[in-house]
Amino acid sequence: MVEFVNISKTFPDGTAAVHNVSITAPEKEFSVILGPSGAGKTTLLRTVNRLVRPSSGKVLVNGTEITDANQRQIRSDVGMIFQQFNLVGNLSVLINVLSGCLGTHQKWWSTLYLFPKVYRLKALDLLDRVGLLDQAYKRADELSGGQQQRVGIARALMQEPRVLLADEPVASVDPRTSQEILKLLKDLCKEKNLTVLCTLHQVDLALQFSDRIIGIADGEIILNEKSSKLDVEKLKTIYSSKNHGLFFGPTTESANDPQNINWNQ
Amino acid sequence: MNPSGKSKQLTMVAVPAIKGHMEKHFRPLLSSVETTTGVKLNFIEASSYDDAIDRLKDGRAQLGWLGQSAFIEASHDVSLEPLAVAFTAGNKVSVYRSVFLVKAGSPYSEIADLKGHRLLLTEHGSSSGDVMPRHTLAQLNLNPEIHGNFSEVIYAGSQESAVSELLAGKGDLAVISKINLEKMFHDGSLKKKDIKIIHYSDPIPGAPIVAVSGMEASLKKQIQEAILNAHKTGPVDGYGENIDSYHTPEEARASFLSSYLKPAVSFTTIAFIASLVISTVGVSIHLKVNPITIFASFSYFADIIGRMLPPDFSDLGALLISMFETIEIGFLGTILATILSIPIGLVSAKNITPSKWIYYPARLITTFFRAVPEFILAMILVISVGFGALPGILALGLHTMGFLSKFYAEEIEHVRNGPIEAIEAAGASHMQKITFAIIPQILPNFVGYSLYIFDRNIRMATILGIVGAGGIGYRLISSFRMFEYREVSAIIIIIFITIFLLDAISSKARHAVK
Ligand SMILES: Nc1ncnc2c1ncn2[C@@H]1O[C@H](COP(=O)(O)OP(=O)(O)O)[C@@H](O)[C@H]1O
Ligand SMILES: [Mg+2]
Repeated sequence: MVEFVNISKTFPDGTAAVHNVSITAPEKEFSVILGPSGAGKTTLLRTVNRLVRPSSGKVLVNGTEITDANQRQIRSDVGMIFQQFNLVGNLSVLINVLSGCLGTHQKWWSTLYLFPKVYRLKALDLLDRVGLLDQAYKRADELSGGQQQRVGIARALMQEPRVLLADEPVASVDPRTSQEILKLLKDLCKEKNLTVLCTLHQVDLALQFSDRIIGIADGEIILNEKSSKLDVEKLKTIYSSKNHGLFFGPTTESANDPQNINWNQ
Repeated sequence: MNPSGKSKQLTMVAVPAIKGHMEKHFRPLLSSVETTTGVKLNFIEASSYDDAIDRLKDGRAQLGWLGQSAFIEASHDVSLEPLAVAFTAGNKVSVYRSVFLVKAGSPYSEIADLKGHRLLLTEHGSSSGDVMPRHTLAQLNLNPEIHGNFSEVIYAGSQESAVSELLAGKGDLAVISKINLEKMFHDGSLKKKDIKIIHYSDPIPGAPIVAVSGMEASLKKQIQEAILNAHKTGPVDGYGENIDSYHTPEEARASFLSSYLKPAVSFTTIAFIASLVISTVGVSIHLKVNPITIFASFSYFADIIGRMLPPDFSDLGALLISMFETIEIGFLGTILATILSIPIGLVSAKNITPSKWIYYPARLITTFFRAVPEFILAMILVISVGFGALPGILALGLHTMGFLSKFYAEEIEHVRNGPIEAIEAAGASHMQKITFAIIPQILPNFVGYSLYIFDRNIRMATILGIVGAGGIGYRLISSFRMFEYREVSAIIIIIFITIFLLDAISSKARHAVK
């Protein structure tokens, strides 16, 4: 469970990215933070593992407030997947996955890329789960975007987190791959009982894969409901008052209704 | 034997991986389980993959062997639990592969040759004859589901008929299990010379024997134990080569993954480190570098340090003026190097040089000045233009021009191509391309390199004084010659403070332009 209590973030240059947000991402649910580009999704998400330090307010991960003192310990419980994958391109796929457990495996020889056999087997297992077992010894930058994100998922799961953060995990891949990756992410997280916080700007993907949608615009929460109680029309009315660049079109096939699309990514 | 198992009977169903032979392969195992548990085990070879799943679903069978992919697919329809997986001798999980066959004498020698031709698969749901081939072909960019990759995709009905239809010319590429292929060679139904193998799939792990989840837990446990121990009382068999025992699914998974393990440290890494150590030792011996000598000369070292203390700053004013002169030499040298290196760097970058007649001479010049140490350049220049600052400036300028040009050229060669294409697509000229797409990308590093060179030129300028090219180095060498070691130490301190300050300033400046 992740609780945000009165979180605000103002960057040193004066940009107020997030304003007084208080929400809860329930245990073992797949919550999507949905909002147009610039809404403050990334900023909000990053307060969870303190890659962004909130200006005020607090974040509780599984009931524990995250502070400067315990951030390393809490981070090992929180996995993260990035929009640009953030793999180390000239290391092998396997080593990239293994790097996920550096928080717990802190023997000096881990800095020489050496990992015990159980770890390597576990990394291979995860690579098999994301369908990349036969690519384990390739350089990470030789893989396609979709494959790299699968490695990103395996790396995040390698650390055995209880909470998983995903920042626009499919913004850098094509629509079909987006579907595959979100499905994989959702299945694996259900299986491993993870609490997921995932940011997205595509309405249809949010509706299709989330348990809960947390709507954000201009740094404020404007919606927080179970996805089953929502549909595209309702979301459109919610967002129409502020005409934002949300992506309403179907991302599965070619977007066939150009009027629906207002994409200012 | 086991009173609780008396009068019980169960049915095991298997998919027809080798039509008509499945019972023969599973009976030894089943008999062994019957003896240990007292449960009577019937066996049915299903007529198809779907038939096998149906029987487990509606309760006509409680145990099953479905092959790998049908097992995964079946788990959506009916809740199954894996009990045991076959291992081969040598304690490895049994794996098999799909083989890709063409008729002997056909013109195809690799998968890519078969684009647009007819594909023969065995049966819907078969691991080796349907799921794995589709997966493998998709990875080779010939996904059968994409129109145009194959003119026809035919299910022959069984592994054997896939081969016979291939031989009859009804298809061009057939994919079957290697196990079945070897069996056909063995029983003479197929001759090796009639077909050609053009590809193997990745290994498919052997499929588990499964039980329906509804089965009573203690019975399930009893059966599983019996299967796991069956090899102790007699030979077991199953679908696969050389099966000699059954193990738990967890052990099977670990064994399968282990086949992908490579040593944590590769042979090349070890060889590399070993050769580095050997050559370091070898070279030290050749150069007579003796670590003991270094320690033995420690007392001389202490003596010289003693004579340098305390530093003598009595001529401080003159020393500072010399130091300033050195900074000026370094500064002018850097300006000269930067000015020269802009045009030379531009023309010696492969991607924007106007012509190879300019490119090669430019590279030659830069390499030459990089190769000749500024110390040597300064000595030559002192002889030709006389003592003083000028030979120092020229030596530094020319030598570091060689470096800067190379840095800039490389930087230009490595700019991202996307922005250049975008500017080109907009119809920009060569010069516009440079100012709009290249210079903005290299500017931060350009300034950074120049600052770095400035920094190092000041350090080098102190040395150049030694050969008569002005500045504080000249004072340094004079003091040395007159054995004024206390002034030497004062000069060293001044140089140290100056370099320290300049370093701090230039690193701030480099950050500012990032
Ligand atoms: N490091 C930063 N410094 C200043 N402003 C920032 C910084 N990071 C983000 N912002 C600003 O904060 C706002 C929210 O950004 P972000 O959280 O990245 O939005 P989203 O992820 O929804 O696109 C934007 O206006 C953005 O420009
Ligand atoms: Mg973002």
